[in-house]
Amino acid sequence: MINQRFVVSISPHIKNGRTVRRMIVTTIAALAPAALWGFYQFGLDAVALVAVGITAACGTEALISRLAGKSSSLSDGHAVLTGLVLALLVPAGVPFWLVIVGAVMAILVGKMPFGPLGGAPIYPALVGLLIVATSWPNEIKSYVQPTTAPTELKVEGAADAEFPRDAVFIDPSDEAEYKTADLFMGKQVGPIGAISPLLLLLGGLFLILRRVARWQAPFGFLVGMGVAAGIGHALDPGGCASASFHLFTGSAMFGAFFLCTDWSSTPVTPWGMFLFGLIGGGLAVLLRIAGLPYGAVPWAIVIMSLATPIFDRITPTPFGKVASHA
Amino acid sequence: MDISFFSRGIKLSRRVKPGKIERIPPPGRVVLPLQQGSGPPAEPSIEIGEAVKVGQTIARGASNSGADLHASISGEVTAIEDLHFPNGTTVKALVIEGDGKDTWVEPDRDDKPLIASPGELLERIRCGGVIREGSDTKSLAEVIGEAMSPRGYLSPTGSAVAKPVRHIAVRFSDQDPHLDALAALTATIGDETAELDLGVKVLATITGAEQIHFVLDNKQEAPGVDKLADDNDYSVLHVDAANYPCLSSPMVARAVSGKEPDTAFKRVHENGILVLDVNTVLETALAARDRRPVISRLITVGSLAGAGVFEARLGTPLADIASAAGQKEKIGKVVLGGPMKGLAHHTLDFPLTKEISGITLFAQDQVTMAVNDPCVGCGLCAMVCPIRLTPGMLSRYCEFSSWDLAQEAHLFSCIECGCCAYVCPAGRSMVQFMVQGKSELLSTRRSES
Repeated sequence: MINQRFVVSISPHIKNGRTVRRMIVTTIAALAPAALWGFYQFGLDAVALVAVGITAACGTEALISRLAGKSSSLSDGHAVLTGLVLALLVPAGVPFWLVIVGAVMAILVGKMPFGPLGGAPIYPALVGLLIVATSWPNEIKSYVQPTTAPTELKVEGAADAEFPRDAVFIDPSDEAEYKTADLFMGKQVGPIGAISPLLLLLGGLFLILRRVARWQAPFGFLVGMGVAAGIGHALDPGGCASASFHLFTGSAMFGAFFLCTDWSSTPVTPWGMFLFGLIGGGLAVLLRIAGLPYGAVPWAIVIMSLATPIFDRITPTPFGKVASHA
Repeated sequence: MDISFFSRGIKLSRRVKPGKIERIPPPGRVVLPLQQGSGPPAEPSIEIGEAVKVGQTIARGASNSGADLHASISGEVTAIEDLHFPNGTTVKALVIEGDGKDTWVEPDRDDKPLIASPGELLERIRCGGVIREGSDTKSLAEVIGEAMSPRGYLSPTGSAVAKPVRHIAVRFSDQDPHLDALAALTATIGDETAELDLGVKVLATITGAEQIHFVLDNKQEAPGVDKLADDNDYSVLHVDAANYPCLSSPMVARAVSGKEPDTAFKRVHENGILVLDVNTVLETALAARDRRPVISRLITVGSLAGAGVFEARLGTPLADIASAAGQKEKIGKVVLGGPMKGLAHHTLDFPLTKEISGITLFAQDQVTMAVNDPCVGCGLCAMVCPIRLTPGMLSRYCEFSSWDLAQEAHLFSCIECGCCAYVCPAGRSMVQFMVQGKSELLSTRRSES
């Protein structure tokens, strides 16, 4: 025993066993209920799109890793998550090639140039999504009638409708036709994985309880959207739907819990996260009203991500230091 | 008031009931390093070949506040040898070959130590070899001596400002929830609180502290301690020690004073708050009353197989203690201290010193290697950091040698508790980055001045 040499390292000598892979698997698990609801509502097309998205993302990552001569990082599951999120954010009627292009772009442009996981300044899936949404503005709006809809939805006249533009294609006067409860329970038209605010909320709370995400950014985002929509609705009921309508449609809930809580593209300090969400939520409502052709919530979060380094400067006063207003 | 509500930190498991203290018999040979804590090493006051008794002074503390070193077994001083410390330094150590008789020096008891002057009491603490262990382990006499004779702090008016000790907080539980030597010691105190009482009063006399606080784990039951506090108007705080690091000095200081001390450069006691462990207080009492020096140490021997609390003479080889604790599996890693803050050492061929509060043994298959992947920016570290830093960012500054940015981001406030590394999913050696950054900055500063 005396002459045996032991391992030497710096403290701490124990860890809680959490790994990047586990956190990503938890995130995918949190998304699963909303994805399954989407599969139920939109059928096998939705399943196929998600499968294609994941396959394309993983294939691109494996190929680029090999070309760049790096060890493959597929095992951490991030490529799967990227493909999944991308596919869940498009409507079920889009052509397959659109999702493939989006997934390839997400990895090729959004993730790999920035080195290992943690370098991407913008959520890679959003990069892919916005590239295809901007390039093929008509194809991206291939909304499909869900299996259970509360009323006859005007999917056919979609392109003419005015708002909210990344959400249900109805105009403000139609809002009264939709019960808030139906929207909340996921009986609406929208992207595959984003139509069920209830399941997304539960998934998000699961992430927060598992300490994979923090509550500040989602909370800030929902408050920001609610307040902005509330003000807009009070000022001009004909031009802006109510707060609950904004919160329960489109990718608002998805954005709050799964996009605002990304790692590298969002702040890590408590106030930074809250303000990031708050301003992002307000911006999303503004973009919806001002008339983006598609994807107000993704665009708002992308724009906020570019400002993440600024929000990261809002650090709390360290223990025992006097607050300074520098 | 419960401080864990406010602190961030992490939840660690803690055993509810501490084990019984087992005594390890005096070994046949002890090795006693002259280096005790961070100060200069003590100077030997005996010749090689001289016979010594238990408790006899064998080295005198450097300067007039360094702690003395005493023989922990009776026998003959046979050599001065080099000893490699886990922090990488090499120090001289005295070797005593025991005669197996365990004869003590004549006791020199003073039944009324509180009549003595503060200076006399301070000298007794120094002669007793009492050490205050913590992030900056030092002779206790040096720590509280600073409070008596303030160093040259200048106020804006130019006069020296005294930094008196106003609060003394006594911890009855180890900082690291995996260690329970102090809890076991507290359990043995029971109703015999005379020494605890005396130790606290000696320290209060020397420092002039106005308020005494007893800090216990909320699972600890110590009616004797409660009664003592009640009789003397000391306050008793219960904290959830499983919420690491709420028993670290800065957190305890906040709990007792309501103010957050600056943690930069480990200067918690300069805010007028002295945080001590209960064993230090008991050692103080023995040094002041019986002039009995510190010759043994209470340690937790922990492994994932179980843990126990042992009392062993200083200088006992750690291998002996580990085998007394029944360690049978193949050891892969030896940590001096608890798993959260302890120092890993490459060998068990090292003596028990006053600084070692526990030994944590890991079997070979339990040793995890550092991964040190790039930071993924998940922000878990910022969530748990009790100092409210952004450790992920700091680690990146240090990783890419941006020392100045790290300093601006309050690198020196880091208390190296290890919470960030504990939760990091990328397996980054966060504490390594922090320590490296601090030492780089300090060496730059030294070379500039």
